[in-house]
Amino acid sequence: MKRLLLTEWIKIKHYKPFWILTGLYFISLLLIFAGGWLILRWLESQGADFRDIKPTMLPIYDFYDIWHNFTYMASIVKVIPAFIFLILVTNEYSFRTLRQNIIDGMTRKEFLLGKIQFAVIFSLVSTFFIFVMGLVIGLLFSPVKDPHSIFLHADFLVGHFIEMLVFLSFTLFVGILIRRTGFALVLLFMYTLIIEPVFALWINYKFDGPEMFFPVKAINLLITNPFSKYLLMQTQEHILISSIVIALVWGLVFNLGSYFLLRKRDLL
Amino acid sequence: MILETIDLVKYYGKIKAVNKLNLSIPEHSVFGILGPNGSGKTTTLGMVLDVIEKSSGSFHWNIGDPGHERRKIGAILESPNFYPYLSGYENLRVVGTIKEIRKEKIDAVLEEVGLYDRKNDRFKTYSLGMKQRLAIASALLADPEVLILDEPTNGLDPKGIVEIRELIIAIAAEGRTVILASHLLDEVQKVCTDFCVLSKGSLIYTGKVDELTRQKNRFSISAPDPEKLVKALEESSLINAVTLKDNKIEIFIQEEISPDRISKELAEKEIFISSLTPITQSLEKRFIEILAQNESQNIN
Repeated sequence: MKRLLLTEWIKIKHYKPFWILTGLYFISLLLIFAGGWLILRWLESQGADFRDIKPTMLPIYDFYDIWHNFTYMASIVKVIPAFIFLILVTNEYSFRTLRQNIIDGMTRKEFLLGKIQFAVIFSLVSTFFIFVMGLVIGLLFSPVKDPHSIFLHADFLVGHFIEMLVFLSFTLFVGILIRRTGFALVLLFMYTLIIEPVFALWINYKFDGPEMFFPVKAINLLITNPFSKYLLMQTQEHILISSIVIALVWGLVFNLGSYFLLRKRDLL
Repeated sequence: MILETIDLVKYYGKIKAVNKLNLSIPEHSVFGILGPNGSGKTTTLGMVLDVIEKSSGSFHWNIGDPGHERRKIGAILESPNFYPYLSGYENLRVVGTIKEIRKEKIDAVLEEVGLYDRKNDRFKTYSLGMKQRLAIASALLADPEVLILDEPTNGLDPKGIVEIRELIIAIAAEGRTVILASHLLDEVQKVCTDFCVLSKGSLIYTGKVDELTRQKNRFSISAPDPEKLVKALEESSLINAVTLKDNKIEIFIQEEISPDRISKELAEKEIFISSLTPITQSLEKRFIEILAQNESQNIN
């Protein structure tokens, strides 16, 4: 367990692109968290109002709304960690170091476990970052600061963790399936942004409802758009157990799929 | 036996790359795997190193803990594969973590291959010779019980080739097993104790290098006065046959007679020989014979 994580750590410790992109991800998170307020200010300066409420009055940084808002914002930039992870996985093919790791005595299962452990750690760090940012910004801006309100909807942090982990598992699977960085990248983003949404739309139109079972949709349904509530629309303010179950099943399917591919194929 | 394969088969699609291979590699041997390009050498090594999935059959390593055999194998393959952005030292840290070796050992092996001064430079800045030396360092890291080399001298300069040869001899002298796949017969003849020949994925010969190349009782002999020498040899009871070929005298001596007795007997007749050397045949010649024999058998 420790041995596999240590191996992964040595591989990334001096890999500059990893640290630059990871830095970029956390800066992006900061920017969109702060950006929410800037956008509201801009809307106000343009004279917009939501049913007579000034945009800057909207409580986007209040406990406990802040957890839902922040984790939803974070899900928009989850492609950055996926991009980072995909490079790390496909590098092992292009440098032929996966083959070398196996020759040196690693088993294919250990290789996969190392990558999954990396995904778990990355998801935990991302969740922790959002937790700290939420706490700091919330304590600065929120009118309510009692512990009960603060932690009432911290379940969205768990949602973020699952969302990140399952999406990274999907990325790992695509990386192992395609093996080439460029192709894998194009396929990952085409599937996530175009293929599945269009197909799901069509399926949904035909059969009514099954789109929630598609992997990317299932991941996105964990944390739904919170901002609609400010327009006094009905908004889902919790995470559905069914969404968690569907997402976790997909996580399992992707990782088993990765294992199957690793097991079956020659490493040339 | 340190490695045994039983009916090992590998198909690439419809092409049979390895065909029911039964190979036994004795412990402490320096074992050469010979064969023309495409005869299945690399595929076979790939299967026993677990990077190529066998289609059927089995193999068994007789080293280390079951399940962790590869940790006690050092491998130097055609092209060294390392993380280009990591230093030589960090690359060996990856290997050491996989093989569970203390990191203090790394400096020692880097010193041994002469890379210590460049250990903090990134792998991608190394020359081909240095890359190959890092591969050697990596192979030595675990004090391997078996060292596997696949065409290790490809692309190396003469100095590098000599270094690899010396490494093989040093490892063998420590009583470890070396498995060497090569199409350079000269290389195999110089270092190997045992060898096998593969052709189109099948094993067509396996045996000792010595037995094949040396004919124990066959010598060539010369002296300042050849006629007198031939006469004396023909009279000798120690010698079975004398032949004269292109001014070269060849003799077959009786078994269990050491050559110095012949020289002594001739000296008593006041014939002082200027040379007496055992006749060996090059592996290359035998190799071609074996392949040709196999061809003709296939035709019949």
